[in-house]
Formats: sequence, C-alpha cells, structure tokens
Amino acid sequence: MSDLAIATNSLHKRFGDIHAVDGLDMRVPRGAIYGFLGRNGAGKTTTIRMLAGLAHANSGEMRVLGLDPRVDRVRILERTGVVIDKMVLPSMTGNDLVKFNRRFYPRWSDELVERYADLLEVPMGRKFRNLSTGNRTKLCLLLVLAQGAELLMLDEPMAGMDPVVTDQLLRLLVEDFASEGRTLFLSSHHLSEVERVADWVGIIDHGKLVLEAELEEIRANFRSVRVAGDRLVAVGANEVLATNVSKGATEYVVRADAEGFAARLRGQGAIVLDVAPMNLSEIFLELVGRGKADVSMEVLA
Amino acid sequence: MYLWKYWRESRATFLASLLVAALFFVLILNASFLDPTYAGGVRLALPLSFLAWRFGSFGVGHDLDESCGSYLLSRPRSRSFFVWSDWGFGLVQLLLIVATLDVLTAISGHLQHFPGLNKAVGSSFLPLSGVVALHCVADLLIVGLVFGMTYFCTVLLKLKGLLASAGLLLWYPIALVPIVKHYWPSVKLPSLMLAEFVRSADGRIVGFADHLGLSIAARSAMVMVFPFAAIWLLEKRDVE
Repeated sequence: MSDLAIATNSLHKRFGDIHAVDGLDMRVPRGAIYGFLGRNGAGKTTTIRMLAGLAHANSGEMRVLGLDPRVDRVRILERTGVVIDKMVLPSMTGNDLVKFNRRFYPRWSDELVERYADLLEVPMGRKFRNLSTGNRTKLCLLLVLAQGAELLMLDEPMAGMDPVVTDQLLRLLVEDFASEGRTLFLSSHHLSEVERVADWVGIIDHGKLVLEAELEEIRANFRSVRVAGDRLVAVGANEVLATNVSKGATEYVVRADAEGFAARLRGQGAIVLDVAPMNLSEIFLELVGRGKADVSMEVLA
Repeated sequence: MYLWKYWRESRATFLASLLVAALFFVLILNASFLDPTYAGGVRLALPLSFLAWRFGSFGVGHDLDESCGSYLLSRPRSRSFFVWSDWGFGLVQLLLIVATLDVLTAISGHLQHFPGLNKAVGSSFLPLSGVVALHCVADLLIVGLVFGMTYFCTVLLKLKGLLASAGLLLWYPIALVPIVKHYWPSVKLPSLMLAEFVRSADGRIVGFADHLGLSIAARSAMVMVFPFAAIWLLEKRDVE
C-alpha cells in the first residue's frame, strides 16, 4: 500500500488557452491534514474535481489511495468523501439525503448522523434549498462524515461561515475524523484556519505547486532574510523560495539553513539587516502575493 | 435508493397521468358526443409523446441543471448506473401508462363505445388482446424515442435540452418530412407515429404490415441509441 493518500505527477488541465492546472506535482501523506492553499482561481477546485473523477486531466498522472481516478473512480469514491460545491439535491430534506446516501456506502453510520445532527443542530426535516449557508455546510459535512471514508477532500469548507461555526466544524474534523489516522485534504484561502489544523501545507499558484512542506518544517526553518540594498546578490541558493525587492532592501524567503544563507550573503559583501521567522500568511503572501512578480526564481538559482 | 430519488421526482407526473387516463376512460363511457369510430386505432401518441418529453427531463440532466451534478456523480457508482437507472425506471413508468391507456381503450371498444375497434378485430386475424399488445408496442416505441431523445438532450444541454428535444421532434414531421417529400419524392422518411403495424381492408385488420419485425427492431435500436449516447457524453465531459 502506498504511503501517499494523494499523489499527482505533472498534472495538467486546460480550459481553452487557460492552464488551470499546470504541471502539478503533489504528495499528500496518508493520515495527514493537508491544507491546500491558493488564491481564487489558482487551480484548487479543478484539482479536486480531477481527483474525484469529475474532470478529465489533459495529461499527467494522479493517484488517490493508490488508485487512478480515471480507471478506478467508483472504488475511490467508495472510500473518499468529497465536498465541492456545497450543493446537494435541493428538493430533499436532511433526512431524505441520509436515506438517499445510505445505500451507496457500505460503512455508512446512522449513529454518526444522529450524533452530528444533534451536535451541529442541523434541521434535518427542512429541505436543503431552504437552509442557510451555515446549515448547508453543516449538512454536507455531516453526510460526508457518516460515509466512513478514509479520505476527505473538502473544497473551501469554511467559506461563508461565521467564526463560531468555523471553530466547531474544524474541531469536529480534526478531533473526530483525522484523529483516527484518516486523511483530510482541505482546500482554502483562509490561512489562519489551515494553520490551526493542518500538519502539511501545499500552496498552488497559477496551477503550479509553489510550496509543499510540513507545517512544523515551515515554523522551524522558514525565515525571512533582509539585506540592505535593492540590488540582488548572486547567491545561487536552492533554498530560496522567493525574493521581494523594495526600497533600499531585498527580502529573501529561505526554507532551510537561513543562518548559513545569511553568512554566505555576508561573505559576498551584503549587509544582512535581520533573519526573522515567518508565519504561514507571510510565506503565502511572499509566494503568491506581493513579492512574486518582482523577481523570477531563475535569477536566484 | 437511487430509484427512490427518481420516483420522488417523477411520481407526481406519473400519478397525474394515471388519473387523467382514468378520467379519459370515464369520459368515454359517459359521453355521447365522442366519435364512435375506431378509425384504425385511437392514436394516443401525441399526449403520450408529451408525457415522454416530460419524463425525459427527470434524472441526471435535471440534476446537472440544478448545479448538483458534482454531488450526484461523486456517489460511488458508474455513470452508466445513473443513466440506466433513470432510463429504465422512466420507461417502466411510461410502459405502465401506455398499457393502462391501451387497455382502457380496448375495454371501451369491447363495451361498444368504440365499435370500430371491434370491427377491426372482427376478422379474427388478430384477437383484441393482440391488437392491444401491438398498440402498446407501437406507443412504447414512440414514447421511448421521445423520452430517450429528451433525456439525452437534457444531459447535453441541461434545461435547454427540453426545448432542443421539442424542437427536433416538431421539426421532423413539420419541416423535414415535407421538404424531403417536395424535393425528393421517391424518398419516404419513416413516420414517428408508427401507425402502419397492420394492413387493413374495409376497416378490418387483414394482416401484419410488411417487414414488421424489421421495423420494430430498427425502431427499438433507435430508442437504445440515446441512453448509450448519454453514457458516452457523461463519461467524456467534465461534470460541473
């Protein structure tokens, strides 16, 4: 059995001239809570659609629970819960949806349905189309949790949720689902939520994975190294993820050995202003936000 | 359980159809103003076609239109499972409606409200039950064609598929057949109504139409094309 819950290799998806997913290489370990981060339109939903067998890749390889979604879609979906649009059959009530879903999944649990319906206060007798956004999300998660899946792929599950509901759902996902060694793949652009629960992070931008790392590694090793001057120093370092040039200073985002990197800069005559730890939001902004367009990675490599 | 979903969507139409059939029967039994001739078969094809068109709008195409295609098709079943379930269950409901209407019509004939029907079978070439069975087959083939085409069009175009299907079905007899007849008189396009199942003389059925088996087989094959086309389409397209 593969140690990876999800693996993609050079995955491509085009819509006309638009490269929605552009050579995606991703590795999601089994048992991980993997935060799949990216701006709107970065390719998160398209990736999940391909992994769930709902969209066709133009090229590349992918494996979900060791199986190819193009060949073994049904076997994957038996073991995987997917929430993409938070839109289910609108004329059905929560109870109808439970009845509808039960026969599809051999490990379905009515006990979990009852438990989560009580816990989350989901009005199970009301039609889906008449539910609020919050209750729709709760019902979608309730249904997917009752499947007894090994892997959950959730696309922006907390979008539009108030902080209390967000907290409640995140705790439920982590404590009830992921604590049993199952894999949670969570796409989002709400960094604080992901940082709270994830142990792995992948950042996608323009269809490419620009970072994939354990959150602990990010906290322990990722550093911002600021150097006086706005002329790039030819550093030739593989560990530099991004560079941001602003007035009078250059900031390097370094993923490992920041002190060694700073020492090399000093050796080349640069004045290192500081070496500071970074949080996920800062790294995200450096990779896909403000600093990215300024300098190409090839300059540094 | 998926059939239960289809039943939830279609049951109002199905039960209303049976109710209308019963009312139709009561009307025939009690109305003196109806034309008492059978005229080679009471043609129920038009109302049944409308019904088949309505039934074709249920199922996967309907769910794609309601933006829940991703949800439905991420259930662990093959695309063909969904199509064959929709198609099979829809056709069974239509068969029940067709059979009910044809049997009620036959009973009406037996009770002399359609004396022409009794005349038609009076030659003893075919018993009344045989005529009813033939009408069931004829009606089922036309509703199967309309139902399958509409179902395919809704999978292809969502709600717009209903209009496309209606347009195609009207375009064929209203525009295409007259145009072909005008410019290529030797070419005879087949009728959608499938009326020519038997040969009649002086209002009596005297035999089966030529190539009846071939005609039924060809039309059945046409009916079967649409679910296969719908499966192929669902496999090829990205689900939104």
